[in-house]
Amino acid sequence: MTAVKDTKNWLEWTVFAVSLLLVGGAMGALVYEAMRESDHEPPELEVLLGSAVRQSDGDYHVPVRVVNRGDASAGRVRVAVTASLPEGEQERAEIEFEHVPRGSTRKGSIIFQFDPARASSLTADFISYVQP
Amino acid sequence: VSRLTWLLVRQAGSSTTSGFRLHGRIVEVETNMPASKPRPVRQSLREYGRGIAGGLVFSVPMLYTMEVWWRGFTADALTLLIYLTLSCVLLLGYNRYSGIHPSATWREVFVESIEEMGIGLLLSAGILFLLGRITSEMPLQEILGKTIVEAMTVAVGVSVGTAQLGAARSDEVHKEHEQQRDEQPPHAWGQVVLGFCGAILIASNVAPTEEIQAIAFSISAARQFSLVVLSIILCALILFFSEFVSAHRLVRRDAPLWIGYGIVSSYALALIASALMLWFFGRLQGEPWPAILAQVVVLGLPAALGASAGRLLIQ
Repeated sequence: MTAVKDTKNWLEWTVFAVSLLLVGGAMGALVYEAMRESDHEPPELEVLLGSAVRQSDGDYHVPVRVVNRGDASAGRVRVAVTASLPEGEQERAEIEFEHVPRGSTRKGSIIFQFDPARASSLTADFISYVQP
Repeated sequence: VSRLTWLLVRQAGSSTTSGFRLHGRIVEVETNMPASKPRPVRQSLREYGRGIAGGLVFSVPMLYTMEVWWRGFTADALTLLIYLTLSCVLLLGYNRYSGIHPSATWREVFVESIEEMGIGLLLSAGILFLLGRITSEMPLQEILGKTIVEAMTVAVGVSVGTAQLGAARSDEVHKEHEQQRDEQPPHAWGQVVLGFCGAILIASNVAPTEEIQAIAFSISAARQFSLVVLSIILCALILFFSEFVSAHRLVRRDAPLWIGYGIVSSYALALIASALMLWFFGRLQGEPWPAILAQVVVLGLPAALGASAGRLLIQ
């Protein structure tokens, strides 16, 4: 066969340059992540409750946000929210998040039939999660 | 620079130029071909168009599968790095032994593979965004992970699409390609690489799903054994006994030993590809040997179809 022939035009070189940047960037980011990542650590989960919003049907929706600051993802994250009423009663509601990937935030809402502002305390606790 | 180009006209009837017979083929002689004129932009655009179409055709089942998105954020960075590196190696191999310009040097093959990987990354990110699997609120890790996991099949699809989906194979490159591959006996390593690509391309459609485990953990050893037998029979049928597309040209069959080699090597490739994919999707870690074997065998059937039929189709 004859010598090397460069038949690439400007478009192909542009595509190549962009691609090289993307592939190199992805590899670089992964190498950085791999060196930073600590092995087999549990997810670091944190739950945050927002203030209740009254819906037209009379229910109160309390926004729940779960943040995973760890290096491991968590699946089926279950959160229980307990409202202690002044009358001494306790109302408990549960919410489950299918996936909370590492570094990400997932949102949901818990629904109460009464105004949670009436409660003397509103606490959120994790019940369980799985590590996929 | 003038050079001799032997162009093969495969269908004698379509030949309008005067030709002569050589080894039973009609051959046309052409001289004074320009050796280094840039390809017209129009033609590259057509090739990219084919690549994008092919990339989507082959990867759309993965782009629409939950388990694949999940793997994007459950896999650790090292696993993803190995996956991305292996994908690039696979692309290099495919482009070397098939692909768009098979007469290319390693340098050209490298450039081509990087381009396809880049298009793969862009395409998968774009589609995942449209499907709402990537949003601006997500951390970079999650976006990167999902994109990389999907990009591999998209990139192989881009490569296969560019090479295979072209209708008018009239340009110089393709004729050179056909002439070359018709005159050389099938390259042993080339067939291994292409068989592996075929296995990945077909089996990746089902590899990430939970169905593989559901099947593997519920069927008896006798059924698993039957799956092995069926996979081997299918390999034999496709490669040697059903006059499958281009099987005659690409699979050596001059001795019983070659037939045995063809069947065994295809199934072995299928099992290796199947094990690698299952490992990547985290299905083998912490499992006992019988469970690993069962899964590999269950995924081995689609992989065997890929290593035999898929291989012949993506040459």
